Amino acid sequence: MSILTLLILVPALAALIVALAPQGATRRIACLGALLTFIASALLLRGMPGPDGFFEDSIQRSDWLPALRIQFHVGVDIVSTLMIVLTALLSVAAIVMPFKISAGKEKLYFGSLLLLEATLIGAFSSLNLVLFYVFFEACLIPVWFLAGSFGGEKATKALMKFFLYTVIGSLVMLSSILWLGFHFQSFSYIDIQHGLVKEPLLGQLGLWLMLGFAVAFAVKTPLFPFHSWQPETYAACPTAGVVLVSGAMAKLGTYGFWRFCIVLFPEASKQAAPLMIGLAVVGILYGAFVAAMQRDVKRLIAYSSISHLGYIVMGLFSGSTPAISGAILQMVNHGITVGGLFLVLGLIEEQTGTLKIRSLGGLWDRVPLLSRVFLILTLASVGLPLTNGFVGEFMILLGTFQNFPAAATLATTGVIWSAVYMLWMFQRVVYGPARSEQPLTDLKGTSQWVLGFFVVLVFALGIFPKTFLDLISPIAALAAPMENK
Amino acid sequence: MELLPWIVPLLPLVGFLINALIGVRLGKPGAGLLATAMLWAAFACSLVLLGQVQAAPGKRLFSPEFVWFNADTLSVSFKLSIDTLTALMLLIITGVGALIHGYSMGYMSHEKNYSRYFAYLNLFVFFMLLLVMSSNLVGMFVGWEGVGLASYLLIGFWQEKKSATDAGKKAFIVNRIGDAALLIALFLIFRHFGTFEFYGEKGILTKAGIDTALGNGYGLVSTTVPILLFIGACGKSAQLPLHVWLADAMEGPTPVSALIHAATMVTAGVYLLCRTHELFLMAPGAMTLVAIVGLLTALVAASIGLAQNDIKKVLAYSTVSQLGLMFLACGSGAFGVAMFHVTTHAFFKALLFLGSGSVIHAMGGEQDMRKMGGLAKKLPITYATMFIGTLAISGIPLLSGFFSKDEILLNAFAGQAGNAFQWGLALLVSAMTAFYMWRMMAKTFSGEFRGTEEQEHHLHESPISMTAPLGILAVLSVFSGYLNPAALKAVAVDLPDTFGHFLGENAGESIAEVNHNTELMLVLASVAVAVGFSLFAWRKYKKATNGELLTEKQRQSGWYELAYQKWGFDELYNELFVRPGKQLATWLWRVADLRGVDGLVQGAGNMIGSLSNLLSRFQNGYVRSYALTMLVGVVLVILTSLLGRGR
Repeated sequence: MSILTLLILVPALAALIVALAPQGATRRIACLGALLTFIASALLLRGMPGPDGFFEDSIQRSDWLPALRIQFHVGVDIVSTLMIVLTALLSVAAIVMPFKISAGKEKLYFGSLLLLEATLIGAFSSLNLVLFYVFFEACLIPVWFLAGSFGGEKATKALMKFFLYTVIGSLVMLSSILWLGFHFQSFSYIDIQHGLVKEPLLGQLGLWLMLGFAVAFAVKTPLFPFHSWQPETYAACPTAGVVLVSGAMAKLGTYGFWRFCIVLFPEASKQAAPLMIGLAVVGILYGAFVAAMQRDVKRLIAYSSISHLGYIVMGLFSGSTPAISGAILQMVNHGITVGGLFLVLGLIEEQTGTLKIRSLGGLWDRVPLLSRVFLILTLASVGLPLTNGFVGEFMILLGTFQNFPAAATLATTGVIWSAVYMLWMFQRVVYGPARSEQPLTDLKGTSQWVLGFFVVLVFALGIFPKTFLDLISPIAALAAPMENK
Repeated sequence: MELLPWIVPLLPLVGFLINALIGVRLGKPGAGLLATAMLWAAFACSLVLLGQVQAAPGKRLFSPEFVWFNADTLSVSFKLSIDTLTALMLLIITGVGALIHGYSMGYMSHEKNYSRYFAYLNLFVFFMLLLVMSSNLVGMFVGWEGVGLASYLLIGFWQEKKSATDAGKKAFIVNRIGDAALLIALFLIFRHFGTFEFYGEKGILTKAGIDTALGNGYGLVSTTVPILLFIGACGKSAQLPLHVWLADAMEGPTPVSALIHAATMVTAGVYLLCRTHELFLMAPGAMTLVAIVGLLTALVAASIGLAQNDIKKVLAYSTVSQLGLMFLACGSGAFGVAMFHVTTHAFFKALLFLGSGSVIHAMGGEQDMRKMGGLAKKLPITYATMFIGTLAISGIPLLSGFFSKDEILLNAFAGQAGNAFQWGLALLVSAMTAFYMWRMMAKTFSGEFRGTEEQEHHLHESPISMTAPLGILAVLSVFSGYLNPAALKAVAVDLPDTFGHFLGENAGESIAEVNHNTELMLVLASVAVAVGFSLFAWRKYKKATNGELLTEKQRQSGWYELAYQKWGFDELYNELFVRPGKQLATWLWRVADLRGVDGLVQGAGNMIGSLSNLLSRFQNGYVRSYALTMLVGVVLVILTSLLGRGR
């Protein structure tokens, strides 16, 4: 059994055990499961890429539904590995973080988080298109549980939207998957990729197949104008859930763009690039503007994510190697920054009982450590050099500028808007005179270690991104059709 | 000692890290001593570097490099290069920086967040050193953004005050406008040069590099690039129309205003232009723009300075105005002269700000000159040193400001695209400078004390830790002009141009040449204006015991009011950008997002919702309809697969 299979099974089994175990033990079991998965996922990074980039010892291929040519076929390359490690890391953080959970809901809470982790890792490692589809869809279920049982009143509206968007998007993708499966007599990603290299689907057909995938990923990312499920869902989910949804599940969208649109359909992606980049740029500006006016920090970060993910999509479709490398790096960076931000917000909400900007303020001296971590993550989000936010964004903008100067110029103004909404928010939430005498607890114990680790990552990725870029570049170069031609 | 260049910026970084992590435990004055010691050590290393640079081949040193990120043909390294231009900046930053650190130990001694203050100050110096030492544009940009961060943190240091955090935020955002332009300049440069390195093979400032770029179509953007670089410089150096943040930045502690907002960070824009002067010299259009913007800024800011009552605001607008003159020099092709004024200005403006800090310290935090007066007797050292600083900035002969400003005026007259009109306007700036500075001195130090009795009771001269830096800076303000006493040529005293010789080709060549009689006329005119307006203001204001020259009614007149209200830039920007921006953003959110994009989905949702109600009354709740859809999907899969196999 490959280590990947274990990576999917461990959190899934942990979820099962959580469901059966007594209430008191749930947290410990969940922590153990998440930690084990994280450690195992780190082992993936040692993999040796084969000729097509997939780590040879990670691949497992066994029959599942042979009649339908559906196999349990998993394997990873460096991009999926990074996504899996990110998912596992955020899961540990979300689960270990000592958030208070309303009595009686622990099983649902930890079970859902672990299930979400398992399905996300499943999706990132699938090399069979139907298997991918199943995981891609299945990760909605835990999100559903989380939002539905912790979101209260807000959840109904949010879930309805979430449901509609994702199902419509996914069904379109399913038709593309089916067409490919029957055309190439296989649902294996590798077979289809080889098939498409030998016999590229040109013209309208390739474009429509590619767009079929793109719609599903545009919803998942989310890309403007498919985003309106996202702020509602973030608001409805408990914060630990949002850490995973924003940090890891959103990357399923950008990862999908890369793996299924750009790599499989280079020609069609090139044709569709103006459209995708256009939407991305609109999203960058639109997300930033709307974020500025939000009254709730969670929603503000949700809209800011639309902006940040817009950069990633722009970079992916730019057809330039530095931009694609930067975009892949930025997937990791955004996951860490936004995941860290939501962890901080979760702690603030627990302390103050609210995330309404108007009711917050005066935290700087009352919770000094938490405020400083918040500041560092805010600066990372603004893309300050030497934090993780800078290098990826810079490479994306620089690379995109070579092929789409107007779009990149517009997107570059994003550095102004992100400073506007983040610093304005930070000022209102953290600075100013204390709002009440009620004592607050600062970071300590576990929360200090977890967020300390995030801060280390922020600077490590900001100063030593080369470690990752060296791994990413060969793959990114494969997918830069514009420069090769 | 290959690593020596790296040690210089790393010293303050280490100071920052120690103070940030365990500074509270170091206490007072431990944290301050540590930070100050780091600066003196960096100053000592800079002196050693200075010697090495002058001995190095081509007068330029490179540090070992460390690749930061790369992909395809893109490769960006952390690498330092030191030439005489950098060495000059190093000495100013670490030297003036060390004095201001020392001063801060006295000034901030009652501050509860003592170690945080010094941590930020060291962080600033680290980024500033990176800015001037980096061998490529990206490294410079790191320092560029980093000093913006440090400035943001220090302006908002007293975070309970909303005005302080507002000012910090404003500074950061306005700077980011410039940064965005700078980024686009970087992208264009990479597109045509294929590198970010200044020097070395095909570096963007080398002839080979420029030739290659011209072959790559750089000619099309050879004016755009310098203009974009200049917009970046306008943000950092507070030039029109991005000057609005600097006056607000006075919310920070006064030593910060002296170090960041007078002596070093705000001159980064001038440094950038001098560093890339090869690119500017290729674009006469951009040069003209630089000169016009610089001159306009100098005029507008000086006029605002005439009417301010806050002692720090006077100095802030004076800084903006002096920076304008430096850009005027750059625009006239006299980059070395601009750097000369950067140097002398660093000394006398730091002195004036620190002096004002001493006054504010004595007044218990009061900054309004209307409540001061008659402080000369109580603060003799502060008074004497500020008097020297004011003499220097006003352009009184034989002090430093006289020499550097005279060179600027000369180049405005006879430099690239220079003319008498430009010279006349620059002379007007000079006149206004003399006026507002002596107005400030008289209002603060002469006449009768106008504060409260309690303030009067507490008036005291500052401790030695604060007055010693004042003394040293006063000496430098007097003598630094002799690095290039070209103005004395007019009276047939020919002393060597040490400064120009030192910078060499790093700042281009000034082309201003005029005959002896013209030169004498220009110098005499500027002396007459400086001395005349200084005496005029000083004597007029000294007589006015209440510190006012104009009556209440006169002060409400149009011109005074316009200057007092800073020409209404803030209000204008609010009306033009902030308010419509908020309206647009709110509209996007409330209307476009919630009703438009989202409304469509809601509508579709409702439709499907009622449809499914029709189909089945048992199926309420979305989980079921979702499951149903998945089931439909699976059936589809099976059906089509069967069909497919039959094919």
